[in-house]
Amino acid sequence: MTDLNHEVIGGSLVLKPSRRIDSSTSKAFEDAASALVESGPKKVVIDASDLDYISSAGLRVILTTAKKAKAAGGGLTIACASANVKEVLSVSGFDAIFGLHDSVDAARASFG
Amino acid sequence: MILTIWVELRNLSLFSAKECGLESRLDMSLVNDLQEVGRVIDSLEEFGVRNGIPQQQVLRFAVALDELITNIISHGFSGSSGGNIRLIVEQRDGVLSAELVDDGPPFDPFAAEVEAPTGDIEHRRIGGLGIALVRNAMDHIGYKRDGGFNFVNLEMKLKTA
Repeated sequence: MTDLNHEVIGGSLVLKPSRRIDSSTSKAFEDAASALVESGPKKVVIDASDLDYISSAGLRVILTTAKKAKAAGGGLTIACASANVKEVLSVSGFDAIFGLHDSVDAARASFG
Repeated sequence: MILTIWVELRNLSLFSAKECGLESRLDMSLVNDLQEVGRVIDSLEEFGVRNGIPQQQVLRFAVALDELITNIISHGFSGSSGGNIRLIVEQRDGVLSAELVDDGPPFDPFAAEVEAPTGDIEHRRIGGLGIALVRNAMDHIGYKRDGGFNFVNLEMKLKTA
């Protein structure tokens, strides 16, 4: 459960959560993401290719992770969101804050 | 005396749901634990497969249930180790509907004003977003307090592919 797929690509930390970030799984995601951001690159891409579902508990941990990354001089953005995930990000205004990209490469490029 | 018996009977009938899903009905008893949310979404996905509802629409519905159950457990039952929730989901005439009943203190999740999400990363607040997601996904929402229980009703029209 606490396993969070991730890799470091060209100075960016790419987090790839799978299936769902809901109220019952958000804590595990938060703990894993937090540890990875602390020890790894601070430019964070959430690759949502394998993510079917996110609720406000998931939005909360994305925000927490983004704050952590930003405080350390980095940032966070999101790539490859499915229609459902996009809808939740859009209702919450998270699409505008973090940016949605069609590929991990485009997301990485957005850090400049 | 009679009233007490009636309330106890009612309690029994409200919270003794068997974990059975008839063809187009899902009936679950949930305890006061956020891990239950995962079980609800799993069951809803199975329900969707059995009833030929596209996964995308099932998960859209599931977000609303996730938010409301999380609300009941985090706020309604806060500080209490007890608390029961019953969830009934039905599909009828192209409408997916749910009823959530809980024995927590009176709490209308839809009473609060919805604020438009604003603020940058530093100042963004998450409170209220859950209910905004419920309102966004559902075609009908309702709340009533009756006989010591909170009743929340949800309806979402299914889109034909």
